[in-house]
Amino acid sequence: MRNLITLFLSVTMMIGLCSCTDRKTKLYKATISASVSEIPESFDSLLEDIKDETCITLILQGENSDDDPVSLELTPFNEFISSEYVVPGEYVVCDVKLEPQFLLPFAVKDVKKLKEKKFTVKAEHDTSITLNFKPVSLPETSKDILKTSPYTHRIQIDDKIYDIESLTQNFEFDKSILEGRTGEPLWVGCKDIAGLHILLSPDKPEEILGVSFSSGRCVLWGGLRTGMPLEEFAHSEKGILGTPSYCDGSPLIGQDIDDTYFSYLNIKNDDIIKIRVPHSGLYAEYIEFCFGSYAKEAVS
Amino acid sequence: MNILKAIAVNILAVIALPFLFIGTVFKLCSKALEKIAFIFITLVVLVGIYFIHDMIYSGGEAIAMVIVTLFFLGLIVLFLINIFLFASTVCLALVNFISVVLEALNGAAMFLFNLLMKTCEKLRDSMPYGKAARIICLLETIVLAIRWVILHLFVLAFPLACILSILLVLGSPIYANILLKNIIGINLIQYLKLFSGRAVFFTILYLLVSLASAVIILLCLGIEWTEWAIEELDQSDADSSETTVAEPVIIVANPQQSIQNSVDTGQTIYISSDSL
Repeated sequence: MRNLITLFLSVTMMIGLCSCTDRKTKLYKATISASVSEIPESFDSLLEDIKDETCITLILQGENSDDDPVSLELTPFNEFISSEYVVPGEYVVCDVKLEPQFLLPFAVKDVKKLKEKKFTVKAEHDTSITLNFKPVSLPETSKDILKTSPYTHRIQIDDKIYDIESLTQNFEFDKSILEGRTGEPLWVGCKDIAGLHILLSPDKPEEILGVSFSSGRCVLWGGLRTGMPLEEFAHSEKGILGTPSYCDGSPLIGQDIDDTYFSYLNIKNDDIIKIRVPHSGLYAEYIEFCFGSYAKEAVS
Repeated sequence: MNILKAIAVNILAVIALPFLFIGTVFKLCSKALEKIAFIFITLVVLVGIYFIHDMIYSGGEAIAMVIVTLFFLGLIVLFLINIFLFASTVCLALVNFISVVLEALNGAAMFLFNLLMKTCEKLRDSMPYGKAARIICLLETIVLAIRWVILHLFVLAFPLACILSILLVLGSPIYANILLKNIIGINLIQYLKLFSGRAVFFTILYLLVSLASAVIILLCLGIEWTEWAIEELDQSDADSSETTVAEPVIIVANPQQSIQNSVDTGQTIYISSDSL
């Protein structure tokens, strides 16, 4: 009984202390709020799962660097309006994040200007920040890539179709990661297109062993792209790829437990395509396409 | 005067109704809170399952890491366990505390409800309309009817919990099957065959623990809510029979003789008007 009373008292004290700190900030009645000027029309055309995941995070730092940063999260659930009690002073925007990155057909406009601006928060006042959006063009799937036969080593990036093996000639990749390494191939990021990677062996960096992307600007044969609903690529009859050869991760797909990976093996040339379905939705979040011998090695 | 009484009864009944609802909700919540310990244990088991799964999934590395941690950082592990035990004890203590508060609030609300309803009853009985008074005091009758319906509905809580549990156990795989058929065009068995045996084993274990706890919670709630409803009904039956006992009727063969006897002995007897 004495233990219980001690526990109860300590918890009460902890709660009291926490609420005191919070109350101290609230005493100033100074708030900082963020909202969006207009939700882009393209938002309505998104998949429900992607809509639900959409989140704009605004991180602000006060003039006193010891203060904790203020984080404002704007989601469809709070109608893209968020407000926080803060200590009066000057604040600057440190970071603006938009998620799911690469899958949204819009981005926050003038982030640089926003970061340069100082927001003065006064007691008993609300300082508001309004965010504007700019459209980001995600390419239409071209007819040529639609017609391309499965497992062809071709990729549509924006409006052009490239041979995957020749990507290094058309785009710049950050190969510094390979320097001084040997053995296992590594994913090398593209400097021009965020969310696009190629698989290179440190021993033979000129040969591309695979491609992976989470960017919505990339499309594979048949129109396979990130953000595509599960039934469009994995349905046994209607899907581009059909029933997978095998799966990894959590069988409880889209149940907020763990990601699920759908893998397709092309018996003819041992190519493997691996698609990640996030724990929070039923769509392709990331696509990995590994070629022949390397893919076979990786599987075994 | 009687009209004023009838108005008073109806007003008191309207005032009593929110207390009935509040009291019932508090009681049901306090009964439900008693099951939170079980939910906590279930969560711990589920986290445990995933921890073991991840340890095996990441190969020997995680196991080795845990062994090293246990050997060299035993104190930290003990500290973490203590924090966990502390947190669980605190949670349970808080839950018990909330439960006690809810019980007290229920007691207060039901006390006020009973007080108001007894006042209604007294006022109604003092009216000379007999059974017609029930119609005149319509709102009181409605409140009593609502209470009757609530209690009789909760008497069915256990059978309903049984039906829900069966639906949950049988419905989950059927629902999963339909969902998979719609989304990827294959059935549950075909889908599970795509995964490794280990992933399937842990998923089934996870689902079984979740389902079993959901079923146990449902059944426990069903039993407790039914018990509560039966107790309340018994209580109201006892209250109404007490009212009858307060006015006992003894039918005697020879009333005049009995009256004479009682006068001689100083006893009080009650005589039915029919026998006179």
